[in-house]
Parts: sequence; C-alpha cells; structure tokens
Amino acid sequence: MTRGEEAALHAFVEGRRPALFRSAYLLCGNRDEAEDLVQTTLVKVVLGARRHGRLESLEAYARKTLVNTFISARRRFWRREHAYGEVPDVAGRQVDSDTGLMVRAALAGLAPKQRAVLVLRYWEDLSVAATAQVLGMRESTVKSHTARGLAALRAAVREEYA
Amino acid sequence: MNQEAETEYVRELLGRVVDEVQMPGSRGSETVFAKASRVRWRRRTAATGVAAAAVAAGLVLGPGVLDSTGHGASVASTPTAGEYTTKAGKFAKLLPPGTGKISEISLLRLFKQAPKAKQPKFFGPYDGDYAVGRPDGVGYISVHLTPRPAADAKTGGGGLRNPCQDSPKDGSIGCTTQKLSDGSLLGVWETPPTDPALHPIPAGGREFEAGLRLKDGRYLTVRASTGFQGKGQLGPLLKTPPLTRAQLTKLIQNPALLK
Repeated sequence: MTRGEEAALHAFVEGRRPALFRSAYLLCGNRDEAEDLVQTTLVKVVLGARRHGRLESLEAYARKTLVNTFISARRRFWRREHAYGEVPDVAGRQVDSDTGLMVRAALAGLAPKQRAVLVLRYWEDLSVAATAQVLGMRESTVKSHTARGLAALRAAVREEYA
Repeated sequence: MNQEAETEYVRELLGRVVDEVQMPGSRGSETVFAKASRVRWRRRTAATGVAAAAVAAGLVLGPGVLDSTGHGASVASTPTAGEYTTKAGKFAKLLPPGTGKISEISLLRLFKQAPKAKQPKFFGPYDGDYAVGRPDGVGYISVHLTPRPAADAKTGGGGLRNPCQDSPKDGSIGCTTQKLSDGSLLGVWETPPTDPALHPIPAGGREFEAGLRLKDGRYLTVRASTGFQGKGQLGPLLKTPPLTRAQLTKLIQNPALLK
C-alpha cells in the first residue's frame, strides 16, 4: 500500500466513523454495542484494505462489513438479553424523543436482517438491488423484509399518536 | 403516501432514533490501526512449536534452526554442551528453570508455510522467536529489539514515551509502567485471548508482553504467549503463558538481550 493510500485509509477511518456509528446504532439500538460494532468494522476494513487494496470501494466494503458483522454477531448471540429504553444523555424535544424510542423499540422487534434491510434502504439510501447485493439475498427477499419492517414502524408510530 | 414521500418519512423516523443518541467520545483512529496491526501480527506469527514442533521446525525451516540432535534446549533438564552453543540454548539459560523446552523457530516462516520467507533483520543477540514446549502444550516467547531510527519512525521521534501508550495495546489488561534506575521506561501488560469474532483463525491465546523503552532510544519487546489455535497449530495452548509477569519483567531487564 502506498503512502497516499495509507493516508486515504486513515482519513476514511477518521471521517467515516460518525456515519458508521449512526447506522450501527440503528442496527444495535444500544450505544455501547454500536460503538463496538463500529470499532470491529473499522479494524476489518483496515485489514481488508491492506490485504486487498480495496481503496476504491472502501465505502461499500465498510457498509457491507458493518451489517454482516452485526448479523453474524446476532446469530451467534441471539440468546443474549438487550437493554432498551435507556434514558437519553441529553434532553431533547419531548415528542421527537418519544418517537425515537418508539421507533427504536419497533426496530428492536425486527429480525436482524429485517433491521439491516431498513437501515440500508432508508438510512443509507440504497436501492433494492444494492441492498440485496450487500446482504447476499434475493431482491424479492429484500422487498418482503422491507414490507414487514415498514409495517412494524407504521404500527409503532400509529400507537404513539393514538 | 407515494414511494418518495414514504422513503423520506421513514428516513425521518430513523433520524429521530439517531438524534437521541450522543456520539461516543472518539476512540481515535489510532486504536483502530493499532488493533489492526495486532491482528495482522498475530495472523502472521500465529505458529509456534517445539518437540512436536521441533520436528515441524526441522521440516519447515530446514537444518540449522535446531541443534544437530534435532532437539531444542531444555531448561528443565541438564543441558548438554551442544545446547549451550546454540542460540536457543543460550537463550534458555536466561530463562528461569522449568520454563520448558526451548527451540528457535521462525513464526513468520511457519505461519506462511514458507521455509524461505525473508526474515526480519535482527538487531539484538537473542532477537527471534522461541517455541516453548511443555507437557500441556506449546507456547512461545518472542524477543525483538528495535533500533532508534525505526523506533523514532514509529513514534514520530518523540523520544522516551510511555510503553503503555505507544504499544498496540487495544484490549490489553493491566498495563503498568515503571521507570528504571538507568532512566529506561518499562511497560508490562497482559493480552487476553484473541476475539474469535474478529480473527477466528488462527486465534492467539493469552499472553504477557513487556516493552522497554531504553534511554538511548531503542525499544525492546518480549512476548510470552500461550500459543495459538488454528491452521498450523503445533500443539494445544499452554494453560498459562510460559513466563509469569514477574519472570517476564526480570527477563526484559537482562542486559544480555541487548549486547
């Protein structure tokens, strides 16, 4: 890896961490777990980039690594209990905070792959085809996961305002 | 709601989840690179051996690595004259009695399964990797002296620094430092077994590591590992690292490692 590529890799790790953390938080619903997921992802990205020189597709590689690391960890530790509904560290707008908690609870009720699909499709703004590629599933599966995920979100928000 | 509006609405909902969380304090990109270096190092060097390893070392490394008898030097038994003449034999003399059977190996070559892989340059008389064979398994001890220019290049030429801060210690436990009477800085820490989720194969075992930042700018490291698990594994992990923390602390201060 050239010095320029190494510098670009450093810049990527430094600059991309906040965005990865947001996606990770949506996936995990837990701040500490999200932080660990981002750290693990970035280490894998650095190793992958140095091994394969994937600088051109670092962004996609990081995104794919993040969701797949999350899914495989959930598969392995599916029996673990998770804490939800932690008190936000900073005071926010009441309605928004409530909505956030409701949406987070709705996301937590989804299967990891469904959650990953929603995050990739609506937060990372990927197409159905791109999401299918990242997750290694058929487009029809992405669509069905999306439909179920959206239904859960709608139900959560409807309950809040009911 | 049309698709575009729905997309925007869902994104806004997700945004509210994200809004509620405080961004974590940055661990800094250096921790990522330090961890990556450590993982890479472990992957490259995760191979070690002795007795059973001695055979493997003979096969992989070819003649000259072990003494003429094909055996390593054991600090547990009475050494023969031949054992004192090999580098492993001399190194074994620096170790406390009962450490195990010591053989010089090349973790790099073993890991790569490449007998002719280029070795790193050695600067200290005992620089290298040593397999430690015990009845319960195979561990290893690695010694590496870094000359001042290379140490400066890694640390940005900042001079004497705390080894606990400079070393790739992500995940390490109980790093302690002490200033020695000659002005050197000594750091000793423990690294827990490798996280199998991060690097399933080969997975390194528990180890103690010590770093000695010398006043003249050189940097000496000694690692005492329980071994590794995975392809190329030459024996089960030792139950405990081949040296205790106290023994490692004593060994790294042995001036023979620098002469």
